[in-house]
Amino acid sequence: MDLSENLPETQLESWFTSLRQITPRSPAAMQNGRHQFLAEVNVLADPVSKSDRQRHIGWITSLIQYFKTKEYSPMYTTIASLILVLALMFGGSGAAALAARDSLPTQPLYQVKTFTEDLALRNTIRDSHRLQMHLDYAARRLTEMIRLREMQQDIPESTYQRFENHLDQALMLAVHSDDGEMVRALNQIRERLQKQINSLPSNLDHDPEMLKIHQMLQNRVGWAELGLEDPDELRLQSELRTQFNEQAQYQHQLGIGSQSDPEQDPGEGAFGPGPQQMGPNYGDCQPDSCGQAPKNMYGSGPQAEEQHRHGSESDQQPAENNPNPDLGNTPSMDQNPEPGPASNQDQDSKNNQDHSSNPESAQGKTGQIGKGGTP
Amino acid sequence: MDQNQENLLHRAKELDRQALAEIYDTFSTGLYGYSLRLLGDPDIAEDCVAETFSRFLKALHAGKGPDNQLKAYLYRIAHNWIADFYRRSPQVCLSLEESPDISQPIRVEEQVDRQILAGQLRRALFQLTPDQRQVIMLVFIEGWRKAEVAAALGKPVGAVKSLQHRALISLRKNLLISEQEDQYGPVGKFARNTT
Repeated sequence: MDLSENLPETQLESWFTSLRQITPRSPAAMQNGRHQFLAEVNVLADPVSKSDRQRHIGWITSLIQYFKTKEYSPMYTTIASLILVLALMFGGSGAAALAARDSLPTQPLYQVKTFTEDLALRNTIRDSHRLQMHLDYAARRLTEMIRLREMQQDIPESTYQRFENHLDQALMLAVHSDDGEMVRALNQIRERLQKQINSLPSNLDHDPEMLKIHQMLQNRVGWAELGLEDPDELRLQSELRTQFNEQAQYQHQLGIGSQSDPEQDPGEGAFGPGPQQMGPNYGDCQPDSCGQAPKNMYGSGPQAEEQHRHGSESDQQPAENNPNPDLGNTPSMDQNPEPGPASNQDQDSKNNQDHSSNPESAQGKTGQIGKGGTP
Repeated sequence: MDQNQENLLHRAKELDRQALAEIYDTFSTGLYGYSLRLLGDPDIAEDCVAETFSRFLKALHAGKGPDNQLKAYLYRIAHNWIADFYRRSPQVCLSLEESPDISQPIRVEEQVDRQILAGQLRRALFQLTPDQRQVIMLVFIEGWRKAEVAAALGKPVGAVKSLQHRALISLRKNLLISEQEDQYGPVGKFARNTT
């Protein structure tokens, strides 16, 4: 017989009837259960304050009890997932950034460090804060470079560039401020850079890389002092250098003439490679390729001519009058400080016989940038 | 749910002692029977009832609890408690044959048949899934309507019908196995009479 097909439901029901008959509940047990239940009702219903301990840490128990509930709650599951994802995203990256805080340029986590710095800079709106951050980051780069040299390791070129970029960006932010703010910012920059110069190792002569850093810092101190002496002059020089950088970059893209390397220009940083390296770029410029940049920088109007003449007069001042001897050696835009092929600036300078015939003035000579012996 | 029970539940949510006592008196006996059939032990069944009402009370105190279908809510708590009980101690076996109705005298042969039948049904029932077993218990033994069972299980009525259908098919197959093992029991007698 196939019971699975032939066993009728009525038969099943009759069999189930036998299961319905159970031992009746004991009245005493029922009364006991009722009494316990009502006692529990009394406890819960009474508005009795919780004990101090329960009031203070009772939320922990409640929290644990909450997670012990068996009811499925889609909303809380979604929220918990969201919290987990956010924790993994930001908690993980935060831990990585923390771990990368003391890393050096040759270490793997250094990219995380620079990335977080760039991110912080991008998210900072106020110029004064950005300036401060650039100075802080420049100080960090310097510390890293010093540590690398102490460990007898080479400094990567990218670290130099980042260091220089931070310095130039700080100067640019100062230049673009109004007069009062600019003076305050330049003072701050000068003081910070002077401290950094003082923190450099004493045996600079034995370490060309440290010497390079020292010169970088000296150049920027010179720019800051120029701005403190004559803010408008620094603004003008900054504008001219920006124009020159853009022009050089444009010509580089066109593949003509200029030997200046736009890759080394720090983007918007008009102070670019620094005053000492600026001269050669200009010196290498040919009139055809550079579009006579040095002359055009001052424009063609009378005011520009006056500025040009003013700069030439200042070139004749002896080097002894230079308040900053280090910066006095800074080559001008018109001058190629290093021996080399005749340049546009050389040809330009031939118009002023004093420049070419007086070695002393040539030593201390500064062009438009080096007005009055300042850089 | 009628207006009276809705009102009772509303008062119970405010921890009204009289309303809660009324609820206990109304449902505790049924819950006890349901627990006893599944657990087979009067003491454990009492524990199950006590724990069911305790959980119900805590839910009310926490501002939760049912808005309707109070009976289904209580039976669901009890069923979950029993499932947890068997999960914790799976070696405990159901002893339906140990709970004969002793209120009425019956003949010895009838009592033996009933015990054998109860044993076969017990084995067949506990080979069903928990949901199928609960549907069979509530529909055929507690005498609930399908809508009430659906509320207790938290499933649509159609799902309950489907569960019941599959449960009966499985139960018949399980009883067939029991019949092969014990052809002198009530199921075996029925099989012999029909062939």
